[in-house]
Amino acid sequence: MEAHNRDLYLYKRLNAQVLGVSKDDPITNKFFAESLHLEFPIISNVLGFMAKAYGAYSEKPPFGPDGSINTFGRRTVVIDKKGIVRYLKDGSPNNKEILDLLLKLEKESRGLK
Amino acid sequence: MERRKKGRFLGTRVILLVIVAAFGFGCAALQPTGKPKVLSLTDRGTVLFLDKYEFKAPPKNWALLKNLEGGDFELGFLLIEQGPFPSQTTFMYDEEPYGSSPDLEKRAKYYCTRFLFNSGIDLRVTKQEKTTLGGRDALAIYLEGENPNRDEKSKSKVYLLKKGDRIVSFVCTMWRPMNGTYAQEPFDYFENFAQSFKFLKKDFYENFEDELRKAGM
Amino acid sequence: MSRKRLLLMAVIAVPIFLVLGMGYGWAQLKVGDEAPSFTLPSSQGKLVDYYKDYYGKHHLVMTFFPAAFTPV
Repeated sequence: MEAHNRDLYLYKRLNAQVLGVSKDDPITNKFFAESLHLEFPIISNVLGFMAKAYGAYSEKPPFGPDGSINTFGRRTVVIDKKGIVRYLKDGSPNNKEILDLLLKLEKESRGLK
Repeated sequence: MERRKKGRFLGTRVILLVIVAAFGFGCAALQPTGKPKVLSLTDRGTVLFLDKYEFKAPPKNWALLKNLEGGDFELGFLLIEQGPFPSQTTFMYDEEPYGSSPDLEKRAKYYCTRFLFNSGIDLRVTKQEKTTLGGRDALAIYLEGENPNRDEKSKSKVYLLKKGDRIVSFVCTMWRPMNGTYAQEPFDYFENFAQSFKFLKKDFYENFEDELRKAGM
Repeated sequence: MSRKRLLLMAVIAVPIFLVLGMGYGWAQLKVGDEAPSFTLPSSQGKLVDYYKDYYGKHHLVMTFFPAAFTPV
């Protein structure tokens, strides 16, 4: 999460925004974001339906990749401006990969090579 | 009690021997062709880490720590010292220190709240001063703390360094039991490492900045 | 009181519409698929809606994580 915060100035130039998603309620997420000085929103999906749709949650244990039960798995998704999923990665985000992809997406979107 | 102390000392010697041998062999062994050598000696009394960094390395009794696939840090050294547990010093180059502000002072403030937060050490900043490192603006931060419950104390020196739009760090931490004595020599080797450290080529973010400019973004 | 109810309704109703409206079942999401839409409350005190806030405007990076105040 901190890595996203460090790259915010680059995301801005690439016309990209970032969201964290957790199962916690908005107040808990607010304090969590403040504790890490995060400058982007964390959204709450308390019932887990949205995370299920994104493949980051399952009610049936065990749930990979780390086998944790009834919490979201760590997963990063990149969606382009047209609403298409362009990247899925389980585990910790690879921020350099994400930046390279966002540059590609923004070039595409501006019709550049 | 005396016999136990001797045994532990012998054990430490064996560990040191293994580390020296491993480090020695690691450095001297021929690498298969095509695979870059992690550490190689120059004729300037320095060491090259891949094709990325050049610096003054500590003596061979320090073990190399490396993390080539990404992780908490990329490159560091560890010295297991004489004396009861924990007697050791590590230092490292960390490309992404805790925090996210590109401002040195703000980053330092946040960094000190996260540094060693998991260790149970009651940490305090004893000194913080502006300085330069390799011609770049830096902050030198001195920290110390104790955890009497685990009979441990630690002393650290951290450099936060402004590199382009980002901040990188050099960190040295020495551990001792509560009644142990801190030594100066490992910190001197850290100083040599940090002061002599050269970046041989542009890092990811510097290259990325070039690409952004080329694309007009 | 009514704002709380509205939020509660959004949190419950939207996922139901999501499930009914999209017909995905629980098929695995993959690269190239349309991103499932969502409207959820944020830590910054407002509702975040995919179509209103991001679609047609910004690329979006989203990281799901296990729980607040755990190592991320």
